[in-house]
Amino acid sequence: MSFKHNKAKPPKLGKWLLESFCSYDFLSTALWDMEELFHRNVKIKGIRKAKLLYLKEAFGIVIYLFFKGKSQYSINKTAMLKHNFLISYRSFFKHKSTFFINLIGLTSGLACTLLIYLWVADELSMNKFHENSGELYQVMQNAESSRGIRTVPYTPGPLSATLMEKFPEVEYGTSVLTHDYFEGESYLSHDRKFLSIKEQFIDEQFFKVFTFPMSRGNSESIFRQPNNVLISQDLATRLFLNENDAIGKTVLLQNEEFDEEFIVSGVFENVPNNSTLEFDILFNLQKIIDINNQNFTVWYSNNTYTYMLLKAGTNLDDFNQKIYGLVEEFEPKARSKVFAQKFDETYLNGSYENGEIIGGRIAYVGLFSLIAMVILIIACINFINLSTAKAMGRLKEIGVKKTLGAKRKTLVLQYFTEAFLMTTLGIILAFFTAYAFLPFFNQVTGKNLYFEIDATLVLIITGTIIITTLLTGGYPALYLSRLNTIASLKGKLIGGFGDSWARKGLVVFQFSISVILIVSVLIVSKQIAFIQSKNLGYNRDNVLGFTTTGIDESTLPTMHSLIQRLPGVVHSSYTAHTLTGDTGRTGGISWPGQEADESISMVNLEVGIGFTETMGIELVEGRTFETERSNEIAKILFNQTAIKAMGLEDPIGKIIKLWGREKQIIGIVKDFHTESLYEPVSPTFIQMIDSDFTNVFVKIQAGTELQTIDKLESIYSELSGGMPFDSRFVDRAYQAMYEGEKQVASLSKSFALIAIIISCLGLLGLTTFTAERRSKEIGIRKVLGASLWKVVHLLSTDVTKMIAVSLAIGLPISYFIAQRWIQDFAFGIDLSIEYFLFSGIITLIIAWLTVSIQTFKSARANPVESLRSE
Amino acid sequence: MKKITLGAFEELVLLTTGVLEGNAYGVTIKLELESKLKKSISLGALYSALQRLEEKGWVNSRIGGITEKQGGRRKQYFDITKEGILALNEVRSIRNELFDRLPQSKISWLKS
Repeated sequence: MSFKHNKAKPPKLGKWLLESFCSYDFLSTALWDMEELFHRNVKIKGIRKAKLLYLKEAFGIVIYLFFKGKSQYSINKTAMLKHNFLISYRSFFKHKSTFFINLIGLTSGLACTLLIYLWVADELSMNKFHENSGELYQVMQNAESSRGIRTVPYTPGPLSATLMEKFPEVEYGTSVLTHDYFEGESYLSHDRKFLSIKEQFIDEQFFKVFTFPMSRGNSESIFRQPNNVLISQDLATRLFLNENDAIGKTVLLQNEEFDEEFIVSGVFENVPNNSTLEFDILFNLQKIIDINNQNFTVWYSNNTYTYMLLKAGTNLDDFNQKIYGLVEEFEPKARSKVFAQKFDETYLNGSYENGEIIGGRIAYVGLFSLIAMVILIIACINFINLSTAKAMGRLKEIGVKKTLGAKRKTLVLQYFTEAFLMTTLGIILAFFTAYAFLPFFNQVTGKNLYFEIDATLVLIITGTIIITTLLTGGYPALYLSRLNTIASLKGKLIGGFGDSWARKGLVVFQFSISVILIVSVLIVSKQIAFIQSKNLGYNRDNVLGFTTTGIDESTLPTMHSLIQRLPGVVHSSYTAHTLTGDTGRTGGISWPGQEADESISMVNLEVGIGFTETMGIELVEGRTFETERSNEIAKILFNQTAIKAMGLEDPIGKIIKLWGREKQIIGIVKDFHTESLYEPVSPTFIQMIDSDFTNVFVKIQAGTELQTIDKLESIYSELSGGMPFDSRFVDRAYQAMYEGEKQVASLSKSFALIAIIISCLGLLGLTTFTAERRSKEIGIRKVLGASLWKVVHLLSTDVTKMIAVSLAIGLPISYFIAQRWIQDFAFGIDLSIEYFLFSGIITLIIAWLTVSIQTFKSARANPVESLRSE
Repeated sequence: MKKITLGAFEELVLLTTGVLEGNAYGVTIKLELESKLKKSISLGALYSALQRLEEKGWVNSRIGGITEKQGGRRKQYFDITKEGILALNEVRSIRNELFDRLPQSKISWLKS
């Protein structure tokens, strides 16, 4: 054989497998044959296939050796491993309750870890799919005002072109106008089939910067003809059934700016879930520039998002210093600075304070990773506690083994084998459990996660198995193998004092975590309930809102009078803003007695007649807008905060200037919330407008909702030419503002529940063990006349003490955490002592109940049973 | 004492060992069997069969082709023993006898 000259080498793993299982003689035989086969396979099947076959054969040999082979062909390790498996199996079988407690704990812990891993991996993958994601940046703008610096993604239209021109570091810059720009819904139709869409307007550089592959047609085609559009595969199949038919077809776009036909010139692959740019149709940006030139070509108008590709190796800090004052260079009055942030970081680090990045969702990623780890640790603690507690029963086994010459290493290996088997079994079950709960998890997190077996997942699972095995097996292995041979043969535990302390400490740790979780869940849900019931200064019950998309401005009065004539309608009004986060803001207001450089940024609500009545905003002084009067456009309403901020006394009738035009104050309204409760109430004014309405709000009489909505829908579709009626109650829209908190709340509820269940299982296991060990003592006490309650008390005292210590540790920590979280809200609940008292009592009761399952059983047992054996 | 039996796979391995005469070792037996049976055979199964056969005394093994440079690899040749041949013969005669007792009507299927 001349395989010496052949360079191909068999895989190391296969060789290692053979070496670690085969006896010396057999190994040399097997190696010869394996190598000869390998080199033959390299010649006829190629190196990759040959290596795979080699591994397969090696596994085959090892498995034959392990299950069927005679011991003379394998080394002692194989036999020991076989023995360890057998002993583990027998010990699982012997202590069934312990086995199930461990298994349930590990399974649920590992299932949580798997689910959280999926979520975290998804969060981390956001916006990373672009080919150039390493050099892809978004330009953010810091707008300075008297209220501080506000960081927004909206940037001036000419910014991207200027960046490309002036800075050699910028390879491409692109301006994107997303669907956020349009306040109403947008619809696309073909052949009277209407679909609600998310549109986006792009310029020529878009496809150079981002990676959104085409499936049909050419992406450049929309820049050739202003009326060409690209649509997503999903939209194409929904409109035309088959995406092949889409190209060349005419579609009609209707929203507040457009009522125009376009031609489909290409189809792009659906935007992946992990993209923050969400769109299903792309238009040429020039199209909207032609309509509304000044929104996109001047430096003081911020509507587009700006993205760019920097040349590789550009230092971000240096570059940011260069572009810092760019906007003010062109528009000296702008008072805003720009900076670039890596695009894939804008999702996770999207919170800013004073123009600095202060984190964002990354905090949740960290929080949930921590929770996964904590739950896994709690499950591991069960295994540790129960194994060391059960050591009593295995003392003889250890003693005999040691007498026969077992080294400490052998015993350590045995316990690690046990832990490994447990963990592997746990992870297999966890996989199924996680798979079963995935739909529920997706619903709660609002994501679309799925299991995909890839290298990372395999790596994570292997890593988890190793870490969990080390965590669970480590302490028992070292502890049990350390025991003194003679003492253990006699059945005595030496140093039991310290060990029971370690065990108690671990239980205390478990319950401290449980207490913290209970308090957190309680406070998060209280805070959310508080937000939802908080008096917002307006009455959002039964107020229905819908957009005026597809309705001509001139038919609005007709629609309004039709709506007001409906029997179930109490009030109705149309506006250009909503009260759920979508408001304007301006500092362009001046008032009598204003200091020279004083400016207040106020919320601007542009509304029609009947707004305060529809929303139930209370009037404090003066009057509101009335139909009968003329020239209401020159009048204005303020809220109390605004009046206070301006320092006006006796404000009714005074004249202020808004954007240079004079307006007379006719009334003051009570404070009401227009933004999230993370913010305090802002100074707000309400002004009348007579055009550019986007929303209609209708206050419906309670009990007539269904009929009234039906009638509203028929009015709407008649006037809009058959557009779908998309309405939503204001209180629902309000709740949607706190979606993030609600997700965190329901997730933390589930995880807290799991953590507590696992902890309780561990406690139950320990109590069972203690009760078994003390069964003789209990028997004697009962014979001497101890009552049932006396015995229950005896067995629960230890637990009560442990829980008390857990509370002493857990409650202060939870107070600290809760306080930090509540601080983020401008309107938070008071952290009263009741919450903590309640959580403490709950924990104690749960623990007692768990323990009572066992204590009552042993206290009621007939003493004869436990005493007769001696 | 329990009678020593020859399994179906063992019989095939034993036969091949005899057929290959003097050049029977892991790889050759495996390749020969694979080409005859038209399916792949795992080395593990083959070794296990060979080890059982050696224990029953139906094959002998000898070492050949040790390469010092390869570091502990060696060819282990297997030769069929007289007892092995006897065992094969016994199995065959039992089989032949049974086959001969098959009804003529069934055997005629072979010819059609």
